[in-house]
Amino acid sequence: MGNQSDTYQNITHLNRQHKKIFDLFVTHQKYLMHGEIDKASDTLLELKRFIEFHLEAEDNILLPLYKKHVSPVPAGGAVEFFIHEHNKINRYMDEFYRRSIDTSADSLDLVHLFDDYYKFKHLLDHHHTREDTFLFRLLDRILTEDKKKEVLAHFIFNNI
Amino acid sequence: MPDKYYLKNCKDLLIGFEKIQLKMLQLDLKGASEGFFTQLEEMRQFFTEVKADFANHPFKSDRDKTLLTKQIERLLIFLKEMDLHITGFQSKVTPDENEILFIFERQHLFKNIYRKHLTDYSAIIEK
Repeated sequence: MGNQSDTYQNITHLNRQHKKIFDLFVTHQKYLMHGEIDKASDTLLELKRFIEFHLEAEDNILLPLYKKHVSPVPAGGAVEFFIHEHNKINRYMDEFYRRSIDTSADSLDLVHLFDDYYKFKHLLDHHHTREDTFLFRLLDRILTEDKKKEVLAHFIFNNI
Repeated sequence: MPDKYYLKNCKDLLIGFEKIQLKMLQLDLKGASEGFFTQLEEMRQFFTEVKADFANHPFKSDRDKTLLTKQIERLLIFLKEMDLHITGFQSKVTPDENEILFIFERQHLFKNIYRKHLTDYSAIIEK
């Protein structure tokens, strides 16, 4: 995808990173289905690093601004919800990285792993909708163009 | 049925179902479609009989009977839907991973209802 510094003008453009997260996760699943364990692990590691980067930028840059400027906070848009879901996502990623390496191709482990992947995708979908609805859209309304530019510069990730 | 073997039968059927899911995830479409057709038919027959047995069984409360019967009905509807999915991918020459993921995720919901039914059934018979 390359450097995206020129393509992010609004906070809602960060939805592209959400899509990338989802797409990378599905790519990882497909490698597992083809029995390409090394590629599956590499993709999951790439995804884990990207998610850590993305969530850290949201925690350190977006959420403090949201906390400072958005009042009253709408129902469903409380800062604690975002933080709680970020922690859950990170925990899932740690667990999946460990399990994808240990998964035996001939046992039902793969089925149970994919069952948990479904729950994770459901969480991602729910979380991304919450961020798009509250965090991104409200900050787009509140922040000046210059401030948005400054904020979005923190979301440039070299490889994605 | 319902009797003490009911839970064991249900659990065995679920393990059989997951073994075929594994074939599907490993993109063995021929093995998976053949396995699913047999397994889904076995489950359909089993739950059709169970539904009839539940209707005549003296449950302690009508509420329990209604709950378990409705769960069985939902499972039977899901089994029909899964038959259609398998017919769809059976004809594919090369696997469509997105379609398989979609089918797997629908089956995940089926298994959720299935497990909930077993939990509720256990709680009801232990009352």
